[in-house]
Amino acid sequence: MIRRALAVLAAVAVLAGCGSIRTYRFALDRPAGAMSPARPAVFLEGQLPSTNMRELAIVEAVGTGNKASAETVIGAMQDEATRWGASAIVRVKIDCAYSQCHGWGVAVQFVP
Amino acid sequence: MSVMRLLPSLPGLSLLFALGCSSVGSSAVRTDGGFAGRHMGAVRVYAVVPPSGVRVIGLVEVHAVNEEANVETLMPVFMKRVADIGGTGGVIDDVQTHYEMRTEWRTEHYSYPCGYRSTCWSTRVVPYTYQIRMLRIMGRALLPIDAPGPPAMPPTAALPPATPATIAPPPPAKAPSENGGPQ
Repeated sequence: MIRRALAVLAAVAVLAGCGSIRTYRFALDRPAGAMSPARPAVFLEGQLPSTNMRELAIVEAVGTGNKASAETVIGAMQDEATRWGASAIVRVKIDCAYSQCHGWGVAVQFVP
Repeated sequence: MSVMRLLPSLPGLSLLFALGCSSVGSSAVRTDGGFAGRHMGAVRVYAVVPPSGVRVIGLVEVHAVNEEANVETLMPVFMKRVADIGGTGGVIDDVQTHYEMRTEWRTEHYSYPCGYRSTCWSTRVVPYTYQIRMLRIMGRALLPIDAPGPPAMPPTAALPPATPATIAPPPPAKAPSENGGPQ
């Protein structure tokens, strides 16, 4: 019985991998009503789009271990921004180190 | 008391500090010279474009490390510090992440064979190096431009006037000489 439980725990540990990704958010406004089917566009710091926009939330992601990559962190931020109905994430800044990767940005909705 | 006797208590002290102390720190400075009365209402945060019709009244900085280094922990502190110096709004200028390697000494117990079929136990202090992440949010506190307070002045006009004692009197104008001089 104990061996079976240990095997299950080991399998869960292997499937979970040696890293984690955590997402944080801070609301600046109400979420946009409709979710866009497209993934939010990403604009790095200093590359503001030339359209009017409404700030929805600050989104942030921290990846550790094998999730400490810009790809994973930006993907997590896009997932979070999608929940807010964002058209894009602007001011995106990614800082990665040996075992951690941190990213933040502002989820915005383009308004005509 | 020797240092070696103190070392085994370091993990306990570390745990105490981890449980009892927060890594969140902040600064708020009113820079317009106005009265630093606290704003009791809501604070609006702008992360991309500050609105028009506002003036900057001060600087705000918040920071934390590791688990507390996230916007969910730091932004409420940022808003509180904006309100502390009388701001009704805040704009985020920069979010900086900084990584550092820290080394601390930990006590571990280990065993080793000694003698015939015997195991001895001992204690040693080993260095343990780990990475910490610091998050810092820098911003400015805002107030509507028509709110009471000192008027927004350009920096050149805000320089203090020179005191008369430090200014040398201008040399007296020379009368043109009779035999020449600039005409």
